[in-house]
Amino acid sequence: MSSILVRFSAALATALWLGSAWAQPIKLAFVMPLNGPFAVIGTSQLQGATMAVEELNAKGGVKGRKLEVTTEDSGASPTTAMTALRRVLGSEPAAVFGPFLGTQVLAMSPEIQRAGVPFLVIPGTLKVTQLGNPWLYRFQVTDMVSRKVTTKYTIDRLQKKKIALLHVNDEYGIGGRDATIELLKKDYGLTPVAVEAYGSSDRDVSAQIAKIKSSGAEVLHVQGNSGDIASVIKQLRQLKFEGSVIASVGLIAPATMALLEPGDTDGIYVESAGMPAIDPDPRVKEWVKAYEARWKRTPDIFALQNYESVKVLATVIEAKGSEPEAIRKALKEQRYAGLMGDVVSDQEGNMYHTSRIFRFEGKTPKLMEAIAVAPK
Amino acid sequence: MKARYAWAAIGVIAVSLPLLTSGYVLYVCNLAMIFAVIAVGLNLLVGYGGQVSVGHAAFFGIGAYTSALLCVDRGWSFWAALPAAALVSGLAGFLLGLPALRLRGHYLILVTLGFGEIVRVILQNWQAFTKGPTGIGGIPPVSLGNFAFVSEGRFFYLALAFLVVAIAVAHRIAHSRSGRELMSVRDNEVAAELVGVDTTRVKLFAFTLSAVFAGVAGSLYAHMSGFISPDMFTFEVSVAALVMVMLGGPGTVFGPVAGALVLTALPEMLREFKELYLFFYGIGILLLAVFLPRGLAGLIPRGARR
Amino acid sequence: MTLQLLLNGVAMGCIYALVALGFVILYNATGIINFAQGEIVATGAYLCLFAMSGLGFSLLPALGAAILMMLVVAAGLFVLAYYPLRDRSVLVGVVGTIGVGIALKNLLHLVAGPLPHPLPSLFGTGQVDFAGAAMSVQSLGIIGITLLMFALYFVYTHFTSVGIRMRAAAQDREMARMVGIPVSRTMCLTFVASGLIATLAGFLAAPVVFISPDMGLPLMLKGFIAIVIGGFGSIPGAIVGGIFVGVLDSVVATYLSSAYRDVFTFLVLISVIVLRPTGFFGERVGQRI
Repeated sequence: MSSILVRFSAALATALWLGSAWAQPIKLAFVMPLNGPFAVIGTSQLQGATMAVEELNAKGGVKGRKLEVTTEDSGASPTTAMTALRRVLGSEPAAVFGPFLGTQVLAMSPEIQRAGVPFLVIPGTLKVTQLGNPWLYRFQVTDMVSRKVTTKYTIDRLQKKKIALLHVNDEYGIGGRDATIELLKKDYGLTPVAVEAYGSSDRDVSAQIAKIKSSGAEVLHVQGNSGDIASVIKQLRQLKFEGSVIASVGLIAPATMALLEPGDTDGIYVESAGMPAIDPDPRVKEWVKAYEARWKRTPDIFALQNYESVKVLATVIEAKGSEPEAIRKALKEQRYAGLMGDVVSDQEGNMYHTSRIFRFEGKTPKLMEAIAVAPK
Repeated sequence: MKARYAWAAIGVIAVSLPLLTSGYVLYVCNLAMIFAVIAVGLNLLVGYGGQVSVGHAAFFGIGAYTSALLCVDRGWSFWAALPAAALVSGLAGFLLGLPALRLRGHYLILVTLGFGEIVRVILQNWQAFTKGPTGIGGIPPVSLGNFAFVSEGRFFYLALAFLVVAIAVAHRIAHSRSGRELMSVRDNEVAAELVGVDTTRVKLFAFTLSAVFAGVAGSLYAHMSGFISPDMFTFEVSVAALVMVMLGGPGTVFGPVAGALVLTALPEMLREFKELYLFFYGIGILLLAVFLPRGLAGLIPRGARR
Repeated sequence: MTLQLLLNGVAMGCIYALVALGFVILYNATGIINFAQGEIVATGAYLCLFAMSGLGFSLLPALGAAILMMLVVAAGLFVLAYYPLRDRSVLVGVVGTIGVGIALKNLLHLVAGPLPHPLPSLFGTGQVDFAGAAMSVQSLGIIGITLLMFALYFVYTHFTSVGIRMRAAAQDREMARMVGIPVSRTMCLTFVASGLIATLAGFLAAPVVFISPDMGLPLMLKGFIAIVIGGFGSIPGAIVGGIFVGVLDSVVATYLSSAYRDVFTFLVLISVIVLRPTGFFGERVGQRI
């Protein structure tokens, strides 16, 4: 008798629980830099992701459940990012969408791993997917791909072998430097003619540029963050560096471009997973139009990547449900036809594998080449 | 008599706090207590000794990194790393103070300013040793045998214990001969010299001790947060410590604790309005300096203050 | 290359010298160590920006407009903050001016946003060939303007009645009061002058470092080092110290290590304080009791 009662209560409880879960919204957490020097890209992230959420909710949500978002400002430093993460984890989100800053993501990774929540991020910093965190997925080309594409373009297209490196002195820059040096050695048997570093708050890099000039470099790979790369580019022009320059994606951040004159960027190459605003693909154009209508500004690649990360998550939840472990596994296996190429995970959790080289004419970028790197 | 009841009440609230709140709020309390340790130590130098340091974040950082590196790279336990952290920061304080404290007050300010910046730049750039801007993660929590102070609640008691010890030590010193000598230096250094006080030795003692307190706090912070990076040990943090001392009441025992509580809780509560909060924070500091140089303690009538 | 390097260093050093000058004249007049000097420089830069993009002035008139606006701002700051702080203890003065600095910085942040803004250089980006090296006109311009500023200040304080009164009040307040100099008003004038010099420093620095709410602190730190090297409270010391710091910074970055350049400059600061606290030109005579 009592066992029937127990089973009935259990069934009722389960039904009620299932029923309530049915109506319950799916909680997502956005932890992005919304204040401070990285706010512009952080805002791009937020806008891209929010647009995806709004589109999904307009169609009735995912599996009949609306998406509910908690947003926290990750600030400008790893410490503020950690505090923001602590706050959102309290709300028990199904997934956390993280910042584009490598240092912040590296700091947040152990905590996220402990919490066992899917973590969708967009920094390029190599180390981010080398920590062995199974919950972390990178919706960006890993810096290894960026370096491969940059190096390939330099040697195969520009046909130049005297390469110098100028990088920002953080994990992103140092990881990129080491990757480039190794790539040059293994794939081409070359060494860079000069390797210089600068601190991210340094505005004066004339000493470094002077050394690079005297090394006889024909091509300079500049790897910096959106917050610091502008002065580097400006000074390269001022000090009349004669060679070609290929800059990392931070250059195309709108706030960074706003600091530069057409004369500063003319002739400079930049490497990026894409530039939606000038992409000829009609699907991308449509997306850009929708974004501009919603936010009254031109979208950048970071907005697109965050948009796609939300869409991919929704696809995964639609297929496999919103339990963290299910999401994690599905992300590993899901293939998604993205606007910039296929979005599919490799062994480390990197989702994007095609990058592109652009060249500035004045301040207008033109696509030179798209290079795909096979995911491992 | 009334004071005793008040203290008892505070004690009861303090001890039962983890049962009443949780998670994030407790985290803020823990952070406040760690800062209170720094403030209590700094108070000895600034409040009792009248010497100004704007670089104490350096000692906080030295303590944190010493503890973190020993535990992460060499597998030490917190209980071994903590005294090491205290020793290294204390040594740094001693070596810095030795030449600097012989000079007039405003030189100490500049030296500590410079030192703070040097430490910050080194932490940021010596990638091989400190892992640079990426910081050090995976710092193990404090554990006693099988009992790990992992949750905020457990850590609360640990931090509280350390704070109580810090306050007790500061209290003892303040009421000892050294304390009186310190205060004499603050009130009139020339006269103190004349009466036979070895002002440099006394100032050095206070400076070193305040560095030790900051180093201990740093170690605690590293093991509470599990992650440290150079951006936590900046000029702004040194300023905050100084303001905590001034806010609560320089030269009182509990003033800095109150200052630390206010100055840690307030920014967290107002984090939505960060720049607006900071704007009023700046104005508040100015008003404090102009109208309340004795801090909140200055509001308490003379007789009731200890 | 070395000449170019040197020139660059001297130019930056001139900017530091201007920051230091503004700081020194205030210290001499009020005894206050102004931890907000960097932020006042930043405010000056933002005023120039506002004059250009908000009011539509072109570059040089914008500087003029900014200077006029700074007159008002500085006077306000003096009345609200610096005058009340003038005779307080070191701790109070330091904390008080730090408060002013924080308030200013965040006000700028609230009004103008966190992102950096460029300001075009008055001297353009051209270069002149000299002794086989390409020297930037901008560097030459900065050096020229700084020297001019120092000269102007010298003339002002030695040859105009207002200026002489400022100098007298700075040297000995009580004495000045006794001979009938309106000390408070003179202090205000000095503070305003300090603000104007800071505006010029901001104007010159902006094309190099970009205008942002954080631009103040590094400039102030270098300014402090300049003052200590040159001699606390000494005006010629400010320019010598500033140039020294600028050149040292440049040399260290090129030949030793770009990453640790700040460490070296601060080590120099500490060494000078410890070994020769009076700097090149010695501390001013007369202890403030």
